[in-house]
Order: sequence, then structure tokens, then C-alpha cells
Amino acid sequence: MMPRLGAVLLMLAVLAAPLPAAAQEFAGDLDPVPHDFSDRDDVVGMGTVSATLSGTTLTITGNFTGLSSPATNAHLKMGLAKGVPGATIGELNTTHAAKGEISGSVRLNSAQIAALKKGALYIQLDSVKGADGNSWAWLEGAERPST
Amino acid sequence: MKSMRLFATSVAALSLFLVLGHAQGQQQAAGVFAPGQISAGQREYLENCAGCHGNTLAGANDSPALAGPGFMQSWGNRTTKALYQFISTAMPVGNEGKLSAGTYADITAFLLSANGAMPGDRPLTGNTEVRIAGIANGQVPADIQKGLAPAEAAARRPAPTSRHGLTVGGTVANYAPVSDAMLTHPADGDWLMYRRNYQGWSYSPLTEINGQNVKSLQLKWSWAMNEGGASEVTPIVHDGVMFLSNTSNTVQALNAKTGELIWENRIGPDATVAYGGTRSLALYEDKVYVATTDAKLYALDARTGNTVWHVEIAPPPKGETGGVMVIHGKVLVGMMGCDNYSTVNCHISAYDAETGKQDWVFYTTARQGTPGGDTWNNLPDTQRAGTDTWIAGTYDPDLNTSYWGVAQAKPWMRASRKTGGASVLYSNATLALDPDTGKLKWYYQHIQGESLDLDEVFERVLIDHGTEKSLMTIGKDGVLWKLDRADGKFLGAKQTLFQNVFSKIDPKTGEVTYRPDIVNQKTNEWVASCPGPEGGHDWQATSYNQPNDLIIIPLSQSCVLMKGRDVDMKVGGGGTAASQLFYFMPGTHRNMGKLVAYNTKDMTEAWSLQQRSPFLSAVVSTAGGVAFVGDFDRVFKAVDVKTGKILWQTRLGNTVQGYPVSFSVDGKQYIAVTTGLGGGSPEQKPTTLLPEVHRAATGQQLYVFALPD
Repeated sequence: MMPRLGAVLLMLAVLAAPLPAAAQEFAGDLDPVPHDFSDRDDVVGMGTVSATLSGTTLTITGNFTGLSSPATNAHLKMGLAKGVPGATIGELNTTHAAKGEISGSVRLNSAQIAALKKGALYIQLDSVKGADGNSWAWLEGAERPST
Repeated sequence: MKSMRLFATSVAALSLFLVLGHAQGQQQAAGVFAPGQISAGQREYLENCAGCHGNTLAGANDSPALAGPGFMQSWGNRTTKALYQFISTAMPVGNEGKLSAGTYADITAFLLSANGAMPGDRPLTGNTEVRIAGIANGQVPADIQKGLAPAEAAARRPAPTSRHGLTVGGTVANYAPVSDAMLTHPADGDWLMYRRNYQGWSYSPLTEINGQNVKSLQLKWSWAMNEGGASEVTPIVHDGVMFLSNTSNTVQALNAKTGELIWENRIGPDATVAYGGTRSLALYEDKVYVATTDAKLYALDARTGNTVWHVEIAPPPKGETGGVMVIHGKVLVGMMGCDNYSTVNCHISAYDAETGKQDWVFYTTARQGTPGGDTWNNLPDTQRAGTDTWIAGTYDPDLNTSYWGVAQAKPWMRASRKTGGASVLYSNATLALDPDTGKLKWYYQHIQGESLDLDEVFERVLIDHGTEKSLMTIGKDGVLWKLDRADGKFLGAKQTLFQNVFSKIDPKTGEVTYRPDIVNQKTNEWVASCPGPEGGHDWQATSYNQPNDLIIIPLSQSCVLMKGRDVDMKVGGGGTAASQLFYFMPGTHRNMGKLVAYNTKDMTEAWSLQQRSPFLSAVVSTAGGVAFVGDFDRVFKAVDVKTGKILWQTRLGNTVQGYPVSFSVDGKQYIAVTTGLGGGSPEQKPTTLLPEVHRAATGQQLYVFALPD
């Protein structure tokens, strides 16, 4: 009797437990950081970045090509709004070459998750010539428009 | 990416302090240019650069400062070789890379000298490479601070390439004077004013060219136009004659069917900068009216091209580019060139069409002691700059009201101009003026205290829905506005593309709330703006296709970081006073061009298309259900008005820039469009962001298309 009751209670507990939140997908294009004609050739290159928010962990993958100098660092950053640059909130891994990949995971707090959902988080890729930024990708949610 | 580029404004300011302090405190390195290069470079600078960057090297409009802290912030940590490379590949605008290597070296040497660098004993070349902050400290010599003498510049300038005055004589046969009734109800085949009708529609009732046959369009004739300057032209057509404004304030009359030149008047002065093109002429009775880039108003005999009268609108360095309009025998004209602090504030003025006698003046800068004069944070009138009107107005004959958009205040950023949170009337406002008296009937300010070079100056389009008499306009922020044009009441606002400048637009009043960091901006700190000064929407005007009740809008998708400078608060000081860095608008896949159609009644989007190159021409649509528009990468295309589907396109000689029109001669419909170069942000941003687009240094041209005979 008791084992059966225990099984029923366990089943009820499982059913009553909140379902784990579905992972949310984000993506963005790697575009040149703000520049003018004088340093245009220093910040070339393109690529894409994808990110998955599972719980509070944001897992990022991406690739890039066509940089005019080797990539050096990659960061997750948070701005005041989409398109408004801001501060680094996490470090990522990157290939140290003109073509390569970006990867890493960052645990976000509630404010950072809210910013992510507003489009205010972005990945910044640095390079030798673009030491303070070569490319960036603003992360957008599933409603991100296609080409 | 340059150092100090991003958000870290306090770090940026500290870095600047360290750079300058370090440079000033150290023994400067030996000179890297010869003494003779200073005078030679100054001469070339005056000839090739001063028109945009100014005689004090302080910069203006989109042209950055080339001396002082602004220059050192941008270039202090870079090398003389990089500076030479930049100048020799990107300058002068419109003639990039075309000067000799020696000339570029001399100009580079002059710029270094203008920033405190001392000469040495060997000439600078393109291979000379030292860190600029190591030889220059940003201290501008006194003679440059005072301004290089314009007389000296003029004396060194080569003689004009063309003589002025009536250079080709001829007579328009059977010219029919243009009456008030014709302006109010233009003949179907005519294009008598800037946007064709007083309501600003850019819509032709012609139907021969339609969605089914537009693919058969063929070139009928073409006409090479003046090179140099900025070409952003509207051909004006009346009774088979085309009146065409070229750069250098040249006006021509052409047979609109054959392209035969009838007369030409080279009014002058010749264009010396790739900026400030004349956008339109006006016709009234037997005269052609042109407001010149040096702020004079000319009346030419429409039959012969002879000058009948001319008057000064404002003293130099004011100018006029937006074009003129005629209402009840008065010529109404705006003004631009109000960047710097001056004893003359920007205004709209009216002149008797027959005699040129000034009738009235309305100051678009609210001056002390006048209504709205208390909205400039107590600045004296001489420190109230900007509020230019660089687009011609529209007119409602029933309400007898003329509508004008007013540009932003100057300097661009409120931190530079020291206006705090003041609204600075009548910047970025719609003005409703009585054309007979110049009296203000009402105004609506779209952005109070605008701070990021986001003008709301463009065409005011007058649209009726039953008893609703509305006015629609769209500015660089990409917000489409709808007002009641009888009283200025706000009726609606629609965001047509991504923007991050306003955190809120009040749905009842239209009042905008700026993002907090824009309100709290400081000089020498970067502030982000999407869209940036390219727009959103810029001078490339909309078309209102009345049968489908659609307004078709060319848009650009780019952003900037903008950094304002401190300015001299004295006459001659001020200016636009900000540096910019450009970037693609997030989420656009690097598509800078967007064409969108909105139903004007309920302001819902009907369709949109995006493409890599921005649209550099206005839109013209027709009763045949076709809209025409051209882009930065030389493509001129026709789209279905109802769907946006591309129906036809062709490649022209250079950027499709200007205001396409449609007209008819002997019952045959034509489409005329110009290619052009020069201009501000709409040229500058794609030139930087789209390196794959290659354009010739010349190619200002008129093309006229029609169906096969």
C-alpha cells in the first residue's frame, strides 16, 4: 500500500512541478563596429552569432570570416537599448585568426535577461587592427526578420 | 575600431586629457615636413578643402574639424601615413584621389602645422610615418583661429571654368504664361513646381505607362549636366519645355521631347564644394525663379533666360538650396547656411514676383522678445543658430495656408549649444503661415530640443479623407506624422523603421520622450542614434499616390555614434560641432535601403522592400499604378504601387540622385530622372558603409525615358 501511495504521490509531485522553461533562441549578424572612412578597412568581416537562453545561462556560438587582422577577443556586452553600446558582462572564446568561431556561456542576472529580451545584448569581436572592437552582433529573438 | 569609440565616455575624456597633456608636456619630435609645404598645403587646402571644413578648419555640417581637440581625438593616436592615406583616397569629396601625391602631402603637412606641429628639414611624403600626437598638440595657430582670409582663398582659386550670364541665347516658342489657376490645377502633362502640385504629392495623373508596359521603357534622350557641387535636381516642365537647374546655379531650358537646348543662363557662383545643390525652380507667369546657393533670388525671363531682376535673401555665408514656391504672385523662399553664430537668424521670406521687392519675413529662429523667444535657454539671438528651411513648402488654397518644415538647431547637440532641455523654437517644427502676410497661424514642434541632427524639415504632404484635412510628414527619425492642417492638432504617429532615440511617443499628443542618456549628454561623449543623420527619411521625398491612398517613402537604415564638441559662443563660432561614426542598423542584414508604403487613412503599412543600397532619389508615382525610385548603386527602378513588386529596372551612369518627374508632350508620357553626386549624410554614410559600391567621380546627367514610339 505504502509503496503504491508513494508512487502516486511522486507522480503527482512530478506533474505539479513547474515545467522547465523552454530554451529561447536569439541570433544576430556580425557587422562592423561604428567607424568612419578612415578606419573602414580595419573593421571588415562578417559572420553570424546564435545564442540559446536556457534558464539563466546564455550559450553562444558563432562564426566569422573576412577580418583584415586576426581576432583577439570576444565579449558579451549590454547596452542601454538595442543599438546603444555598453559594458562587458561576460567573456567568450574565439579563434585567433581572420576566420574562425566564437563560443562560450554566460550566466545572466534578471536585469541582463530583461535586456536580452529587449535586444540590448550584443557580442563584440575584437581584432588586432580593431582592438576596441572589429565586429558586433546584436542579439534578436525569434521574431528577428529574415533577409 | 578607433580607441575611445564606444560607450566609455569618461574613459574617452580621460584618454583625451592624457593624449593632449602628454603631447603638450613633452618635447615634440623633430618636424616631418618642410616649411614650404605649409604655405603650399594651405593654398591647396583653401582650394580643395575649405569649402567643407571651413576657413578655421573647424568643420561644418558633416565635415569634421581638422584642427584642435576634435582633430586630435580622431587622429592623435594614428600616424601621419594613415592621415595621408585617408586624405589621398577619400578626399576631396566628389574628386576623391584625383589630386597629385605632392598636393596630398602638402595638405597633410598643412594640417599637421595647423595642429601645432613644427616643420623640419625634409619634406613629408606618403611614406612618412610618425604618431601624430608625437609631433602635434592640437594647438591651433592664431592666424588659423581667426580664419584664413576668404579673399586670399579667392585670389588663389583658379578662374571659373565657365563664363557667367546668358551663355546660350534662344527663345521658347509659344510660351504660355503660368497663372495662379494653372498652379492650383496643373495640366496633366506639366510638372510646374517642386512636388508637382501645391499639396506636395509627387504624383502624376498620366496613365500611358502602366504596370503591364513599364518593362518596355526605353531611353529617349539624355543630357550631360554640370559637374561639381551637389546635384539634387527637380526638372520643371511646362508645355513641352523643361527648365533644369544645374550645379553652379546654372539654369537651362530644353525641348522636353527632343532634348534640344533652347537657352542657358550660368548665374553662378560656381560650385566649389560638393554640397548644397539647388533642388527646384519655380514658374510663374513669364518668369523662372531660382534661389541660388549664395542666398540670392533671381527671376529669369522664361522665354529667353535673361535675368529680369535679382535680390539678396541674406548676406554671405547664408545660402539656399530647397527651392522656391509661388503663391498669389509672391515668391516664398527658405534659407540655409545658418550653422554658425551670426547676426542674421534663419528665416523664410517672400518677394513680389514681378519686381523682387521683399514683402515679408518670418524668422524660423524665435528671437528674444518675440513669441517663442523664451525657449532658447536665455541665449542671445546671435547664439541661436540653425532652424534652416532647406526644403520648399506646400500650400492649401482652401485654407490659404503654406506649410514649411524647419530643421534642427545648431550646433547639433544640446550639450554643445548650451540650451539644456529648452525646446528651441521653431526647430523641428511644422509651420503654418499665411502666405499673404507671413503671419504664423500655428506650429507643431515634432521634437523639442532636438539633439542628434535628426531634422523634421522635409516635405509636408497635404491629404484629404472626407472632411479630414491632414498633413503628413516624416523626418530623419523615421516617424511618420499626421496633423490636422487646419489647426495643427496631432492626429497620429507611426514608426516606419527601428529607432532607439525615443523611449516613448505619446499616442495622444505625439510628444516624444528622449532616451535618458540623450537628455543627459555631455560634450566629448559619444551618444548612439538609430537612425542617424542619414535618416530614416531624408530629402529624398515621398510620393502620395492618391488613387490608392498610399504614401510611398524612401528610407535609409543606418546609425551613428555622435560626439558633440564645445564651441566658441561668439559670432562665427558654433557650427554643427560634432563627430560621427557610422554603423549598420541592427537587424537589417546590412540592408541600408528600404522603400515602404503606408495607407494614409489609418497609417497601416501596405508593403515594404529592402535592399543593400539606400534610395538616393525621391519617389514619383503615377495614375498608371507605377512608382519610380533610384538608388546609390545606380539602379533606377519601377515598382507596383499596390504591392511594391519590382516591375522594371535599369542601370544608369552614376548614383540616381534627385527628384524624378513625369510629364507628357504631344500626348506621350515621359519619365525624367537625374544622376548626381555630392551632398551630406545620404552620400556620406553609404560611401563608408558599402565599400563594394564603386562609382565614377563624374556623371551628373539627365535621363528621359518613354515607351517605344
